[in-house]
Amino acid sequence: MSLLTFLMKKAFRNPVNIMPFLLAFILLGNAYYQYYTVMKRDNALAPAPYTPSYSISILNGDLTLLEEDDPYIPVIREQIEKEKVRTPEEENWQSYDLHQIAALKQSIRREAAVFGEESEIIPIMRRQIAYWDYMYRNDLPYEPYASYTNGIAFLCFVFDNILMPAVFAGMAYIIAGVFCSFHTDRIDQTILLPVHAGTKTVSEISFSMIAGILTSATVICFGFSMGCIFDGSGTIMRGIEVFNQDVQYVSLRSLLPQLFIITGCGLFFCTGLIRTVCIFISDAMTALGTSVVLLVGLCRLPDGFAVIADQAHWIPMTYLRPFAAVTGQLADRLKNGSVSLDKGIIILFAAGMALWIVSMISEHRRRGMK
Amino acid sequence: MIRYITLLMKKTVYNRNNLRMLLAAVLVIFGICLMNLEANGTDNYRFRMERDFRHNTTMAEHSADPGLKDLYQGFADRYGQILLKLDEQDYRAMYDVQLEILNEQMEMQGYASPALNTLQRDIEVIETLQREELLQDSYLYPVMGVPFLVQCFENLFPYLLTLLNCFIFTGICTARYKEKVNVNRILPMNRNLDDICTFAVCFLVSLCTFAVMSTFAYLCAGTVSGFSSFRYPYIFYGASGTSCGTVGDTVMPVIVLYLLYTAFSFLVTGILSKLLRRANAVFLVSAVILLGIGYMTQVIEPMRAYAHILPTSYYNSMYVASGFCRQYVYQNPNMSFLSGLKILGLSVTVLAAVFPVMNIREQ
Amino acid sequence: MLEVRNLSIKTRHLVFDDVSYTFEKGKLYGIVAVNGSGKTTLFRGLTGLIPTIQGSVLVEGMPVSRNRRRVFYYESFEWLDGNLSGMDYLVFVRDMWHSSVQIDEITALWDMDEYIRVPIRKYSLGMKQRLIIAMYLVADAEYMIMDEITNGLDEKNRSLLFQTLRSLCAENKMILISSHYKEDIQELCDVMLTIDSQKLREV
Repeated sequence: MSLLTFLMKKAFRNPVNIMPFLLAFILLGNAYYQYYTVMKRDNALAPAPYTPSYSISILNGDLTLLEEDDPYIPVIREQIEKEKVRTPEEENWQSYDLHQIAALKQSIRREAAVFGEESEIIPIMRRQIAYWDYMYRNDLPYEPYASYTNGIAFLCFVFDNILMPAVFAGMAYIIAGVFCSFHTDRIDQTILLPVHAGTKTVSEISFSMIAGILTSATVICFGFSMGCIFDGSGTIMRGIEVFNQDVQYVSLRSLLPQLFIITGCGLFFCTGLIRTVCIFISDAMTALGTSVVLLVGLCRLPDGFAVIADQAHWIPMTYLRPFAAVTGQLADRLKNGSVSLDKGIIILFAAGMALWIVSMISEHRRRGMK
Repeated sequence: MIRYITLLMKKTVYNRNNLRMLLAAVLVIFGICLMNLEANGTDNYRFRMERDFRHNTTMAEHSADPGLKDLYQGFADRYGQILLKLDEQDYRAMYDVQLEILNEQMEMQGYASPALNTLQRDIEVIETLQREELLQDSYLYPVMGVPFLVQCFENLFPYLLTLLNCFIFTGICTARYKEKVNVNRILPMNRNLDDICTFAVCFLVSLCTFAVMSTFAYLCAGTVSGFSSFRYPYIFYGASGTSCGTVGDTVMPVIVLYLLYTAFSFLVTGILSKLLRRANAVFLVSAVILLGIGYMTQVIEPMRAYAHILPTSYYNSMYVASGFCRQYVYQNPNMSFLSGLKILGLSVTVLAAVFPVMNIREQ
Repeated sequence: MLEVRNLSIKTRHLVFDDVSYTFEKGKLYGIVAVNGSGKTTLFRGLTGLIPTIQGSVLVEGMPVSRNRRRVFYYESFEWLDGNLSGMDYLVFVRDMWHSSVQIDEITALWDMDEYIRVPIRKYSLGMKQRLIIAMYLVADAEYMIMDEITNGLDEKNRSLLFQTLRSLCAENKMILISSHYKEDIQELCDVMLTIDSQKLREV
């Protein structure tokens, strides 16, 4: 406990360790500002909820746009009946959703007629149909496709794009700084501590995980708060695109447990890697550079090199993009069907364990060295 | 001044950490080359022609329609001829046959088919290969000198070289600060001269690193699978569509942009060193600025509209030179080699002017 | 006792060759040697900070790596983290070495109360050196190895240090200190040692 407390003091009494947080806040602030500006500009074009009478007339028109055997025809008819009994005070967006679907289906038919089924726009429109279908089935209020201004939406953006690499790089900075501060003149001062190697490793794991969780949580909370302040919290039922054989949207709520598990495993692995690097590299800047190159580099390298993408399912850093791993976007982007969430969790945890065991063995050997 | 530059060079070269980082980078290149060599058999020219030959033969055997049967058989025969010419290393004749196939496939497409653009591009590439009598390398796993070098320049060097530069520049620029005190003040030398010497050393080291890594990548692949040529075809993305040039056409723009970005990197790192005076912090912040902002511009759609005026968008000189950045990465039609030249040139000028101002304030 | 058996240490060259010596409790040992002779290397070898070619160091019959709580060594103020305060270090040492020494008494004795909670980066050389001395006292280890502990101390504090060391010896502790100057520690020490031709010998 004393060692853990000491390590925490070393990390959080160092004023320069605020640097990664400041950077993250600036980047997040800028990102949010960009999306917010676009949202404000587009708000002029934002629709108002349909009145019942308007809904009925629009939906009747939509019935003519669809083909005879389209599965949405009975759905639209059902909606028309619902609109007949709805009062104007009751706000409802489902008619709007169905109208979007009908319009997109008509656009797809036109596109296919001119450019054929290979047109690049058709898959994009199919994804939009899936999105509006999800909005309809869950009876969610209006939210434009690909909008990131409310709390939950911006949180998704942070998880998808900021967590790796920004947070993990920041974490490497703090943790490497602390561990390397014990190295002077190529001597590791901690050898002198009267603790068992195992106890010391446990303290180091605890410190690293706490630092990692605090860093991630701070960034996530900042992003969420910013969204909440300017555009409301959004809903946890927000539709997230999942990459299966067919395009599908599921609620964010259903993905949360997996998201937290893989993020936790990712943190565990990252801390193990950083600690192992610090054992072999005593200079803080070199340790930081090496950690960043390994973490961020190996995470991004499969995107550029097909030969690495083919083996990416074995590389733990591949799974440090939690959102992409959970939604299946990772397997889609890397064109590697072996990349999966379950495999990611196992590999991250196993690799993390292996690294911490290496750290413990190395510690034990250094303490008992002749 | 020469003595001081020599001292700084020695400090940099004898710093084992710098050598280790360079060695690690070289090992990464070697590792990727090795992996490409192993995987190349599943995507090289021979493999693709054999696959298409087998596919058309099978289709011909199983087609009920006599017209289609003849069509597939025709393709199969021509792929067979390609394979024969490949064995004889008669690349001209081989590409002649391939061009016949591609032209026929183009005629079969509808006037608005998206496949037309792809086929047209393929034809241009094959025509260039035919003219230069070069064997086409794998798209995914290049193993010849020049194509592998191109792959490294597109996907590895922008990040690796930038991080390496960041690391080395930070080491050099922050070495003068001991407990936040600039110990170089005791030197009988003007501070601006000190900065110029530091810049000279950093630039030289960066050039050497660039040369070492490029040469190693070129030799690593080339000694095993042949070097190919700098006249190897390369796709350029212009305002009016794609066109086929050669790799050699990218050499000058890539080098110029790289040099400018290196100068920009040094200036950013130098200014941060003067402000923060701690190696770790400078390294982290400069890495975030030099790579992070470029990355953010890619992922945040609204930012792409003004990616062309941010100097950090030009870190991938290969993609900027080819226009890939304009077309796909930032989807910003204003991005080009010329805009990179202007923006980086302006940024370097402005930041270079900040140095003397900061020195005066320090005094 | 702290037993050194056939110890050989090599850095760039062979520094110690087959050294054997026994340090007994209740005695104060002083090592005086020229610059670069290997005082710090010896201390690092004794405490297991660096690997040795051969030999062993035993504390009460057990390897020093298994008996860390009995030994305390803090090489220099360069090891200190400037962002922490002196009190952070004293509390940490007390907890790690399971000592029952009262920190307040130590800080009062050494006139450290004023600055003990201030970040170390604001300390002068003398303050840092006193902090290190305080750490030794708080650790209350049976075997204390001190590398040039008198550096940066004024006359008053040197005198206080020597008094303290003598009283520690009276409490049956083994203390090993080093210095460049024989006159500095000659009168204080029970046994004077020197490093000569890769051997440790009594003077």
